[in-house]
Amino acid sequence: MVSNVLSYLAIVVFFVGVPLQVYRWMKAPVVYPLTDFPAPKTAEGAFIKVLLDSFLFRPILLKIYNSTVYSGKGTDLWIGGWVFHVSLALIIIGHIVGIGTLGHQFTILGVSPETSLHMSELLGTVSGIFLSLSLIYLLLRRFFNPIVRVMSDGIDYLIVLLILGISCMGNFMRLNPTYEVEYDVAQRWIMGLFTLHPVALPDNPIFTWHLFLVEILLIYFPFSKLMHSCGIFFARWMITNYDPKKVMVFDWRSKVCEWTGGK
Amino acid sequence: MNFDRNEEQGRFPQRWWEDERLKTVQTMDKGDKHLVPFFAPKIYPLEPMDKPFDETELESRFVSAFARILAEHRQLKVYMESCVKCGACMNACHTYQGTGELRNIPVMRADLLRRYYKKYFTTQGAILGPIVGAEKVTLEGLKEMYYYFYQCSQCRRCSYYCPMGIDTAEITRYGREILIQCGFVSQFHWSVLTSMWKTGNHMVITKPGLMDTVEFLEEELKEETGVDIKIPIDEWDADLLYNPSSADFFAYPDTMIGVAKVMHAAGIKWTISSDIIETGNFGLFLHENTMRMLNKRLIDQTFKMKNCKEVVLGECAHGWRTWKMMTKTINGEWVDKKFHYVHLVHKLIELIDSGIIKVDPSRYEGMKVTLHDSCNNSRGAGIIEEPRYVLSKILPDGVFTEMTPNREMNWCCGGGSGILWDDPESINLRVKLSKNKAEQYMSVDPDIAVVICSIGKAHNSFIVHEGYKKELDHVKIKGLVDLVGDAIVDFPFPAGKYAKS
Ligand code: HEM
Ligand code: SF4
Ligand code: SF4
Repeated sequence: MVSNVLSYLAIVVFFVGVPLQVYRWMKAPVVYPLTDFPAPKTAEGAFIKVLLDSFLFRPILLKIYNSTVYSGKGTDLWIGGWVFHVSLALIIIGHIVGIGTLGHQFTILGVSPETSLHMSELLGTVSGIFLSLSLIYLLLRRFFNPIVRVMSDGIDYLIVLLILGISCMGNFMRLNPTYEVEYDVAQRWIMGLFTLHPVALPDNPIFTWHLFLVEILLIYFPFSKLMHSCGIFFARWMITNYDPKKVMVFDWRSKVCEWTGGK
Repeated sequence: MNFDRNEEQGRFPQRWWEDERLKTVQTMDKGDKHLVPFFAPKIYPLEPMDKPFDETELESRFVSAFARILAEHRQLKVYMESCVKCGACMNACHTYQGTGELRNIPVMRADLLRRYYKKYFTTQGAILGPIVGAEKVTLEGLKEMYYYFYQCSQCRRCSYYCPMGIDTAEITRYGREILIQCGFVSQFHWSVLTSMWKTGNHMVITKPGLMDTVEFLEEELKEETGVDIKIPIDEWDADLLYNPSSADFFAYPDTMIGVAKVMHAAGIKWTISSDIIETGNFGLFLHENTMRMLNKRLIDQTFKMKNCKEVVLGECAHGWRTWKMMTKTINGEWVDKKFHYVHLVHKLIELIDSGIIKVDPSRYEGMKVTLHDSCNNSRGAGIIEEPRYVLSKILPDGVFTEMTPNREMNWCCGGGSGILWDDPESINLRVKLSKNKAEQYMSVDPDIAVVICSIGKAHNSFIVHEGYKKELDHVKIKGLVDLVGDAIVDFPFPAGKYAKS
């Protein structure tokens, strides 16, 4: 069955490819510290800052860190990009948890299975819609912002379109009862896949396409700019980490560094 | 080919700049247009290639150079693969703001290299080609890359804007190294490196020349202060070694004079070694192996000092960055076991705080002083509050005015990474590159702008006295230690040189 072969291929490529790419990065040394100052003084501080920077995205944080001096105009991107990533994360988690527990994940909060299912569906629907909207926004921005447009290659549109396609089909299945796929059907299919006893796909063209595009995405992931999801931590760590052992530093005058009389 | 890891070749001969091999370099000093590609096959070993450049070799040369650098630098690999083309860096770069050329947007600049990366080092580029923006190496493409990579002043401001933390300065640095192996290098940078090889400093100062200059400076000092202030050269039993920037002797003698006054007032037994009158390290801008060696040379020379406890590095921003951030990792952990290496600013703080030198703020009454944070000092090596602290001690209240943005978000002056070409076309370009800084100066309208950086002094003087002469000619570009020197009250001398009267 084609869909099954492709599914296995996608899983293998994704779960082998991404670690391989990361391993390729790890192999090359960082020859000297690349710290951007002012930097956190300890490794823990740097770790926290990397996480904050990565997950909240830099432009808004600059405003918090340094509200007096920063005058960038990055918020238009930030809102679209951040909504996109948060809803994407929610949806990925939702797929795993929701399909894994058949939508009963919220029972640990003490609600009944019924309510949990409703909550799960509601959350899925809302973040799905946000995902599509933010992707449309990013697409339009890429197209209509003259400068972002010149810097884009075809693939930058294609990736956004691909994810948009996936999310639109997901929303369509969610909102149109005739094409709805129940959690247990999906669970059975996935279990079949993982236990190496593939079962037939539900007879649902939209679901098939949804799955097909996801597989394309997974196959393309390790070779593309989507590797930024790992690269961001590497790059951020390199410019945030400040290891006093590696640099010539004489902190016996460090009281001056804390001096803020000039601000 | 892999000469970068070669320990033996990386060592210096005792007086390595007198090496016979290097003399041939003189024959290459031709052409006067600095931004026209200059032919130089490789910088190390420093000798011209014997057969003329062959265009069919281009691709293999490029790919092998690129592959070597990629294998040794994680940052380049990560940066090449994780840019999402989001455009957040759009407004970060002064070169784009000044010239309005789209290729000067950091991501577009990096893409000049990334397109080749995609072609030769990624699967998607090999298969999908132009859709993902991959391109084959051509001579035209390399020329374009050359032109825009040498406009990047490696100020790293873009890395503060990029959500990924991509530092385009790293990309241009290694891009320039690749270009060198393909035969492109800016003549200015090349000539600075050659003079570094030949004389050990950027300004081609020989020891007799140095002695003359120092004598002249001592006379100046005597005239100004009425006190016999010495600038000791090669006194091997001194306690403190000062490592100046060679431009301090000719182009900005005020800095040298300031240092002499400070040391004299503090009663320190100091000296300058005539072998290393250059903190600067142009290798940082375009060739890593040269950077290693120049750095090693400084270390070797400082280790000749007998009684010396402390090495003070002069007002040179990229020099300080190489010293502070790179020495230990590229030339060994042991380096700071014997000496304290400190920046001049740190030394000034120590002297002022402990009351060893007494300063009189009233000299600067009624003036307006501002501080330009040089990129390599503030962003690159963390000297951000220190100069402000010194200024707060030597200036009366209300004299110091900040430009906005300041500190680590400051605008680069446009001269970073040694962009100091002086042929007519390049001068027009430099005027454009410094537009943002000039606007900052105009909005603050200072009397004195403090710049703790040799290249910065050169370029900021260019901004105020040539590029934007009409509006800014009255601004004086000074080093920090100049101001401190003039504010010293310990020995009698006439009113400060830049008092308004
Ligand atoms: C730890 C995980 C991740 C982090 C920290 C992260 C971070 C970022 C950041 C900071 C941007 C900058 C641009 C913007 O604000 O839109 C971005 C863009 C983007 N990300 Fe992620 N990302 C992650 C995972 C992913 C994943 C898993 C995908 C896709 C499957 C993805 C797809 C994209 C796309 C398509 C863009 C470009 C948006 C545009 O076209 O403007 N990201 N990401
Ligand atoms: S390092 Fe500075 S000059 Fe170079 S691209 Fe970034 S902002 Fe522009
Ligand atoms: S901000 Fe960073 S990730 Fe975004 S386009 Fe610029 S270099 Fe690429």
